[in-house]
Amino acid sequence: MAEWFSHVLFAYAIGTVLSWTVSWLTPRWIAVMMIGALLPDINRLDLVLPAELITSLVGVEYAWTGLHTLAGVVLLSGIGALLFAQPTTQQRAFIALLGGAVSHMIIDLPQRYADGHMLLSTYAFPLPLARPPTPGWYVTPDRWVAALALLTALVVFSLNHYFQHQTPLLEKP
Amino acid sequence: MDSVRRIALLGVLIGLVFGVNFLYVGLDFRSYPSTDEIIGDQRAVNGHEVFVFEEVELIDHDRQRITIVLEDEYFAGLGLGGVELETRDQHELTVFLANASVIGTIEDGSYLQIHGTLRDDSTVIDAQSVIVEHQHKGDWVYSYGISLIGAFIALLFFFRHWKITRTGFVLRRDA
Repeated sequence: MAEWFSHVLFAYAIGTVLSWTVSWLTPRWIAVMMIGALLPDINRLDLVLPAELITSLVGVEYAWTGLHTLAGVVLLSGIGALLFAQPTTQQRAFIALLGGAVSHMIIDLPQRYADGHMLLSTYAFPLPLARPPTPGWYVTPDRWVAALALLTALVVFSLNHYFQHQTPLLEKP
Repeated sequence: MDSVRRIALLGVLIGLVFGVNFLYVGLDFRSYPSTDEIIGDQRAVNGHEVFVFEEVELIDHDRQRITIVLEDEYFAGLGLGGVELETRDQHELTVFLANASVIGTIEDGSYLQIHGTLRDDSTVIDAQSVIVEHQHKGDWVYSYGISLIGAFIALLFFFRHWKITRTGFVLRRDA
């Protein structure tokens, strides 16, 4: 997977670009989307609560990796949305969290794998998809990914700022 | 939605999260033997194609081969440092690189992706493709360090707009 810096900034860029056409996607929801971009990696819970501990407690093999899937992020987005107080905000929170989480998995797809295939079948679970060939663009520690994410976020931020502050010519006195 | 229903729904979703994880681990997505299967029955998987993620234990540059050790860990108890895992079983493998395409520079301790075929009672992998994912400790420090910065940025943005109350996240008045 890419590191979180890139995931968060790409989610910001995607959310901001979408906000140009989706009126309710204001900065408050883009912020929620950025949190959503971290959701698939909650499988890192394994570092503090190892799967082996749960396996020994229940006697059935367990792994946190199911969180980095479509089914996992739908459930996590549902949990996250319920943490918002007002029912009116819960629906949008769910969409924003899920949008961020899906952007995370899409960005993870073109990684380099030694067998030459993407992890689409695992990410799409429970959808029965195959593993298409990966373009193999990067591995996690490649610095250029974070640089590209930062550049993209800065360009989108500047464009957004420009669009917000320009006055349409026809409306000028 | 009243708070009782909300808490009940949260409980159901948390239960489903665990359920999905139990279900997921039982599925076979990559059609390669798992680390546990290789350790558990080396003869049965001999000749199979494998795809493993493992750290380099030893490099033999002259003979173009490396040594990796697959480990099967189990929960040993809770200690001062938190959860303690111990190795139940391990299996040493020699990885032949002569016919492999290697992307990156392999060092002692590098974390690799290895795709190849098991032979000699699964004590050898004839590698076809090797990718150096984390070349050295600095790569791990970078990955975790920049991830923490990313998480900090996301939380900063989030709490600029939202605040925590007893009933959940609500918009800040000044947001």
